[in-house]
Amino acid sequence: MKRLGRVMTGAIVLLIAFCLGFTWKDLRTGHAPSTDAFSRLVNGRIDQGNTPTDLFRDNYDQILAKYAENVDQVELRHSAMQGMFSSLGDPPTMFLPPQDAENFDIETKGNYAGIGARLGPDPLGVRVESVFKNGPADRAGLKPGDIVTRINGKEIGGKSTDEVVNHVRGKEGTILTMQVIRMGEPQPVTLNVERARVTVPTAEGLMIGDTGIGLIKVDQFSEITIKQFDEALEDLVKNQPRGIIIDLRGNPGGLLDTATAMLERFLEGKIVVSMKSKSGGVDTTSTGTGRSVGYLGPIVVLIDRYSASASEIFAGVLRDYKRATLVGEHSYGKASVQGVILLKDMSTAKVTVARYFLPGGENISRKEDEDGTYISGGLTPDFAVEIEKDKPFERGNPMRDAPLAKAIEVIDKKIGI
Amino acid sequence: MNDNKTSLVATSIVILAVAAAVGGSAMRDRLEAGPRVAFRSPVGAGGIVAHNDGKRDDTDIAPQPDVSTYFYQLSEILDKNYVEPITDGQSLAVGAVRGMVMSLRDPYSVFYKPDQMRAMTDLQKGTYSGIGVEVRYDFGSDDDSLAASDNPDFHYPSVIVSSVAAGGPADKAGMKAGARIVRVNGKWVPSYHEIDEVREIRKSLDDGRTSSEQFEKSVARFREMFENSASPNRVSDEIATGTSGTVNVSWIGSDDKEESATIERRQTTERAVTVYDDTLRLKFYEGADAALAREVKGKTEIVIDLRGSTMGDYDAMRACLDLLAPAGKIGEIRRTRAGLPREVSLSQGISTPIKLNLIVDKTTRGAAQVFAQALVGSGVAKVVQGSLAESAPWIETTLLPDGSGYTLRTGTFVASGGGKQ
Repeated sequence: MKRLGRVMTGAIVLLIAFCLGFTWKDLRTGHAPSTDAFSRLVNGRIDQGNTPTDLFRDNYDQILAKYAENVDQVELRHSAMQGMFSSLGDPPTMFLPPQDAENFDIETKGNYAGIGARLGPDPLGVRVESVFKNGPADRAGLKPGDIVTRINGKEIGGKSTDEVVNHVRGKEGTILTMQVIRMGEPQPVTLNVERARVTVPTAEGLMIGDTGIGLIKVDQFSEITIKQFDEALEDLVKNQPRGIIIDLRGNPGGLLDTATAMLERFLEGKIVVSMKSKSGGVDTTSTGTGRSVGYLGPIVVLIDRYSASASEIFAGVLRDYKRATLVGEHSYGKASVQGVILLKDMSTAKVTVARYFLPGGENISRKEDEDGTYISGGLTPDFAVEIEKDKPFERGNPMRDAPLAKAIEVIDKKIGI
Repeated sequence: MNDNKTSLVATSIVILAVAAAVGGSAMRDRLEAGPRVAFRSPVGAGGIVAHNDGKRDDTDIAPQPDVSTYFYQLSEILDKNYVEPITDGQSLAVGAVRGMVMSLRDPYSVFYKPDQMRAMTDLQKGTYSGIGVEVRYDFGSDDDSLAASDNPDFHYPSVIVSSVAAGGPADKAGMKAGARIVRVNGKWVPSYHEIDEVREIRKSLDDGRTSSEQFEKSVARFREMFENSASPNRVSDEIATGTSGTVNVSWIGSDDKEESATIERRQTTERAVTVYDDTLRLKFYEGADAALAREVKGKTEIVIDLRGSTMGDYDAMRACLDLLAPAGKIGEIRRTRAGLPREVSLSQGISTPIKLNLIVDKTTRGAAQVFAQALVGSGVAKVVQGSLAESAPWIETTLLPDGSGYTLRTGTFVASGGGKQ
């Protein structure tokens, strides 16, 4: 009897262990054990083909076998994986087939022979999002907002941005002819740009005319930005400005550490972001003490739809601590960290592994529909100002930069002018 | 028992328990993966993940992995790494199917979300939702236009009304089959038409045929349209699904004039066969054959109007053919790829066919196109108004477990006897 008791206890222990193993998948994410899976096990339906993998495979096979034209198997598989990742509705989580993955790699390295401009998609060609100061494109007269429709005589409307960028980059010293549509210019403009080594400039400051207001333009948050920003800020503060405008338009982000170091000049000992990862752990980043620049006047941050990631953190933190007003249009909505997993066939899986939350708790993650159209996300500016479409736009010139003009007005109002 | 024996027993129980737990986990994985995934090695050790410190080695040619394993391991990667828990494995699979269908870039192979799919299956029964129209996307066949480009980023089809439910809200508002939708609730529906228009104006500017003010105006208008636009998918949702509310629509009719109206959404049911002035208007809804049989009884010659008759139910269409054409082969489904064409034949057929006169136009599509070609090809019909294409796409529909689905073009139907009028 005693022996039977021991055997039974042993059997029960094993059964419980088995069940724990079986339901570990559910338990570790905090769900109740899956009864569906249990019933499938008990009914012996182990080999029945109704799993997600089967659903995918059945339709993959069907398309391959039945479609009217020849289908490239590898491309079909890659399209399937892209669809799978985009079904999550999180734009930075994406599957990159080999050729796309390569382009992404070059982009993040940043240093190449090109024209010194950031390009984005447009139905007629590509749109110039920003022009690096003193770069080849700047010297040739290219301006943000320009739409490039022809390169070296060829129409580029219909080509992907990646494809165009491949045409734009090239040997140092060679010339690129671009035909450009510019608002306010009745005729298309032709520009000749000589390619050169391009390093992305990051921060520079100036006093705006005789307004007594300082302006710092920050293009990226890279390592050298901290020093450049510090220098620009200190120079401005010496002039005792009535206000400071920080222009983050077109700034796609960069290092969180850089944003934090820049924030330290205005906010000491404050939480910058909380980062929540899958395991549920929360990591916070805070500003240190001792680096305050001692400026107490009004600050306005300019943002647009291209301001992303570290830009949004910098602007959002200043706003949440009521240290700055945001002017412009909603920002991009990227406040997450991606992990990159390389696959043997040279594809890449980019997966969002953590999300940043601003001090106020706001989750600014971008949401897109399945067509890739923006639904929501990003920081909402305190004052929404659009760039005037029927006038030529000149960044940094209050007469031709409506958001900048508004920023100046906001500062004037704050100090009672 | 002595101490050694006790600890031995305890140790073996622990080992067995751990084995049982691991076994349980493995059994679960096997269950979730399904029969097609080979007993998988963990991700990162013989699976699909590369492990060469992130450096790409261009000389490394990886063998193509088994597709099912590839899918499964990627879903595992997401499950383990994605910041939010992945609760719905099925929607990953459906997403994969959507990706595949859309990659074909074929106007006849389209993925439908559940409510779009429901609207489509209702349509096959003759029940319209929304404003009472069926829409299709026209990608343009001009090689110079964007639509034919290889660019996956830009695909600007125009949204065309392929049929209008008789007596429905759109019909009452004056919309006709063939209309192009240009605005929905204040948002533009830009397409390759507008893009080509800008290029045309730019070309004529280069030639000196247009003024620069004209060019500037067209660019400004173009920018405004694209900045405030609704995607074709959104347009379908707004006008072809739903049974409540109203929608403001602007469209361009066959006379190239733009018209607008605020139109209500409701359910509209259309009959498969309606008679007007001795003519039968025929649409291939479920039960169309029964209605058709009643109308052709005792007749020796009839006129069938197939304008605005589109996708429809292929089974209903074949049943109608059985009433009108002789038994035997009526055509074949050809593909451009290797393989023999599939024969399409009627098992029943009719021994003394009626003389048929067909009215068609470019709004005669889908099942109706096949119908017309088969009848003309077997010699029992002639086209008395309009012109018929020489072939028709053959389309099959698949429904997925979550209610979504897709159409797939599986070939081109060519009628025996050529199908020419």
